[in-house]
Amino acid sequence: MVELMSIGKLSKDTKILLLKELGYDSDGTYVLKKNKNKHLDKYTGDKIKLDNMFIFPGSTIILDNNPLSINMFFEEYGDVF
Amino acid sequence: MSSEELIAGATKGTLDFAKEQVKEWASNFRNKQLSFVEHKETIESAKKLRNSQEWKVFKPHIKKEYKILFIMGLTLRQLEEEKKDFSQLTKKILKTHKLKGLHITYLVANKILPAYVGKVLVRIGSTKNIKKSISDLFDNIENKASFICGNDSKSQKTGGIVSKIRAHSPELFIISSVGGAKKICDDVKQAVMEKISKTYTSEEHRAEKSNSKRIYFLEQIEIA
Repeated sequence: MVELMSIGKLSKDTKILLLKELGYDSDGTYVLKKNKNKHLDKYTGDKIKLDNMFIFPGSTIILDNNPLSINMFFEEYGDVF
Repeated sequence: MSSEELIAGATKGTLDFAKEQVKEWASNFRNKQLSFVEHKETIESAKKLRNSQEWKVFKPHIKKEYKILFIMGLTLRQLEEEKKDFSQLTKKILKTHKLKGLHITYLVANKILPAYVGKVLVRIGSTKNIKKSISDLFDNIENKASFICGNDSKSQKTGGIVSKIRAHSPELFIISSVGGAKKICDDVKQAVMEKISKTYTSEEHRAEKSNSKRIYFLEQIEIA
């Protein structure tokens, strides 16, 4: 089981620091890939805002924290929490 | 001290402290021990719905490709009951699963599916093939159901429904309001029945005490 940590109260700078540590980046609003292109939610194709991320380990999945993406994640990976 | 208990320290502390803390979180992440989310409500809500009795009852009878739409129907219903905005979710469902997918979620959100299954069971007199019946409904939903919005044209909707019924002769056809479109839904159902009453009967289904929606089943008259 993987611990789920709420990052809602972290400052924007700390979130960006975390993304960089995980090999990503941010323009201050959206999650960016290393090449500075916007990282897209794998299920909806939507851009992912810094203030609405879900980040899961393994092959590092970063999703938009909305019910559709989260449930599609559960369909693919099962209840991992 | 848990990771979450350290958040306050990280936000108030020095940059160096934050950097060290972030490195530790990232290390735990790489070891697959830690994940991050803005707020936990979405995940907790998803887990709750996936443990609901309704999902447990229907899950074995829902084809894999439709499972996510069933869950989204439960989610839309929950958001509506909690008077929360569901327009963004509706847009995402429409974007990823098209209008057909959204209509399938309406069947679940409006509690139409259990009543539909009940009627099918009575018609076929067996509990076998429930999965097949549900799949048939979902596969062909645009020919077996119509959802009426407040800005729909009565004559266009009526004509469209009558054409579908005459072309496909479904044993059951569903007419349901979306949002608060009760009056036009009543009008369309009445106009449709004036054209097909020799071969179909209609029955209103009350799925909610609040009576906020209109749901009609048009049922083909069985010839003895």
